[in-house]
Amino acid sequence: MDKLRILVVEHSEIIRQGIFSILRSQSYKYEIRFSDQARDINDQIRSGKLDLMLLNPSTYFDPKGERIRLLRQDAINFGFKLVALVYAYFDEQLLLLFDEIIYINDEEEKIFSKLEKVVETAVQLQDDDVTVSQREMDVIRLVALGKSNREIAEELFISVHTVISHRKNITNKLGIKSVSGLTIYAVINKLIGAEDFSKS
Amino acid sequence: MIRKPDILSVPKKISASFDIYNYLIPSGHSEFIITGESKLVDIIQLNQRLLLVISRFGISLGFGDKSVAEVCKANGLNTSLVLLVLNVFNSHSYSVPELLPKNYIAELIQYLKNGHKYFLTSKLPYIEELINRFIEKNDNPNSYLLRNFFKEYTNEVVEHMSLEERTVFPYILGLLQQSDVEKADVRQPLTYKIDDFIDNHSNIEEKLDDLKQLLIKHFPPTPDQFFRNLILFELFDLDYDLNDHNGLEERILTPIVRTLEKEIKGNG
Ligand SMILES: [Fe+2]
Ligand SMILES: [Fe+2]
Repeated sequence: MDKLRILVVEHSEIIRQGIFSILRSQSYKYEIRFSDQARDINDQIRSGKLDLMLLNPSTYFDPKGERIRLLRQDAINFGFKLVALVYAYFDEQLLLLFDEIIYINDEEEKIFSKLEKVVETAVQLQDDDVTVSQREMDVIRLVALGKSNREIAEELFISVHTVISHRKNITNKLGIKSVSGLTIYAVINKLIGAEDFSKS
Repeated sequence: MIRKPDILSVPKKISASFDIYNYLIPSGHSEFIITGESKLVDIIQLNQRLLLVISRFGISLGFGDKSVAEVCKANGLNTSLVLLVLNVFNSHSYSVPELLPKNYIAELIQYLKNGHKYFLTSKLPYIEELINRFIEKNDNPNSYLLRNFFKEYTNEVVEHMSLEERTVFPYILGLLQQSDVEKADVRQPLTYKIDDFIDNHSNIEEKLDDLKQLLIKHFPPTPDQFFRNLILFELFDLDYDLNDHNGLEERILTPIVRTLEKEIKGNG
């Protein structure tokens, strides 16, 4: 699986540098970006590739918390975690909208364990290898031939669970989600012949 | 047997004017607020994507130096709605007021329908035409797969949008009519809810992403990169535009309708 993508939204250069130097020690695990351009932030959210947003909630003038509520909504819709970075007083009620809160005086250890905890469900760290394994090729071929997960499992003598996990990895590696997209990949790479591809 | 799309102003000969399509690519940030006094020509200079909004409201180009408010008046449009949509398109961080008036609904639905028409009768056929050109230029035996894939995708979009036009929009307009009826006993009970729509508002960008990935990463190198790039530019633009369109349905239309539903239920 890919590194965990963290978007840090923080105006202060000093704080940004601090966060960067702390997280850098785990750069094999986290990919960090910074932004304070609203449009850019929104684009990143909508790309669906964001795993976690570390946001200083006082970045915006947002007295009623409208923006934070929208962000919460986005976090649910686009599947990322919302973490507050707090170093000044902030409305307790609004802080409840965050998945986790990191305080300015938290120690390094604590920051890591908080991050760890919040993404626990989302991460399964694997190597960064993007090449498709032989087994995955087999799965792609069978998917392209229109087989169900159960049929693929039977044919390859593996469990359905394993098929599903192969398919997840395939999608991550190739960036292709749909069956018809995978079919094209299979034809291009000669995993199946064009003649197998009946539903033209 | 492939039916040629009958629309299309795709130039028969390629010329330098194709470069103009570059402007459609989302250009990053445009953090300015549009007001009634803003000159239409100025805001378009700053963010060319607003051209799409303007046409969808039925405003024709050639408006001279008129301000947004003046142009709205001349076209019989609700200025505050037009401003809201312009600002939301211009900056995703524009915060939408919580309570929006129900007199936005009819015009907003017309706007969305115009968007559908644009996607279905202009944008998608145009991209299909570009794919055909790409295929002509590169005799790769597999390139027809891309065309089939795009057709499949087009069908998904057609289905998505016609569901909205057949079911969702008529429901909302009916609701609007009912809310004008004074006596509660004349009202029909609600058989559908806008949240049913939102819960099933399908993702029509998945295949689009796949196609981008195929063209960028997986389809083997082709002698012609010009049309391949052009297709990609258009796919990115379409993706962006569809996102905004669906965002309008979810973030602006739906909350107004929810309020309307409550109002009708409350009085009924
Ligand atoms: Fe729509
Ligand atoms: Fe939609």
